[in-house]
Amino acid sequence: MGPAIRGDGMDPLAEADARDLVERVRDGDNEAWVALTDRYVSLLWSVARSMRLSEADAADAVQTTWLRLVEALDSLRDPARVGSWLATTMRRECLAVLRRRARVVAAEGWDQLAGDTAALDEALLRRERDAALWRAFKGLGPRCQSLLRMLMAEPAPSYAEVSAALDMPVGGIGPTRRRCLDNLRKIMLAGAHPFEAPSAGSA
Amino acid sequence: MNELDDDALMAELRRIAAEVDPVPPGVIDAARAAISTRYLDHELAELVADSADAGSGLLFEAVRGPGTAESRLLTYDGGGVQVDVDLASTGAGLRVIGQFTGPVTECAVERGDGGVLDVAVDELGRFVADGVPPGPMRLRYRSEIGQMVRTAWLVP
Repeated sequence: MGPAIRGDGMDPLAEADARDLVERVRDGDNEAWVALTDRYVSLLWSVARSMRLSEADAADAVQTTWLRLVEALDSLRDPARVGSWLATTMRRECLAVLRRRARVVAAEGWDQLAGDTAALDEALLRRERDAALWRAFKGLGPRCQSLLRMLMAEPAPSYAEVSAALDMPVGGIGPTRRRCLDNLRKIMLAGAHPFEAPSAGSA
Repeated sequence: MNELDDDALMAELRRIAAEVDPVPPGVIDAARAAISTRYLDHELAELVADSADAGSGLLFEAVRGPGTAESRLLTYDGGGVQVDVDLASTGAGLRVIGQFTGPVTECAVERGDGGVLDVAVDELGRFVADGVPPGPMRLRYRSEIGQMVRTAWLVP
């Protein structure tokens, strides 16, 4: 069972929780801050990985986003939507990282930078069916990989948050998700897909 | 796998992602510690220009000084003072060169991990900080009337 998502991508229960947490953090409640970061850290991580940042760059961008939230705490206009605020800010930080990277190391292979670690990932997955599913996921086009990776955040993000993170209309998320999962099933059915790199960095 | 409906398939992917690409513990610890950068009594100096954001509505176009490596120019405004900041990477970290438009005291570079680097401002309002490690940073200073001011976070 997913959260009760309305047509505008909002999740009323989660929003009430978010507002409550932000208000407590404003009042100096440290436990509320821990709860807030625990609630959204996977969302932020997923934005970065969905945008193909390396682990180190992702960690920096996540941290910068938290620092910006602390800075903006008292001026946040809509605390109930702090998740979308975080997703938007995170997207901006990721784009800034990608701009800097493009400038500094344009000549280095993108795959190495982006940490295309399919072989490594598979070594971590003991169960063959998990490995096969992950392999199929890596065989999807970039748009589908990006959306699905975003949706893998734990807890599942609201469509409003996904929309903010990927700069994508809320109404497009459901149909795209359906199409991408269908593609994933097709790849699974076809077995090993033709685009799979034998191992990271072997090109 | 192909018999799973969309929600179940998504749940499987979420479970696998948590195994192969979990949020690193250091990222979670750093997030919890970030609240220590909150101050209630300071004023925020807003970014008014950034050469890295040409076209974003801020004032600068991309600037490359003649004969110098690429550097980034930023301007912040807060506490009745403007500060121009010039960032350039060197072999040993970042060089931060600054120029205040008014009198300030107690200037320091604060880092996102809690580190603080005091910097001396000369009588003309200039300062240099060398060897600043990468990662988010901001300047703090006390304005003439004693107000503590911090710039918005910047990522070199």
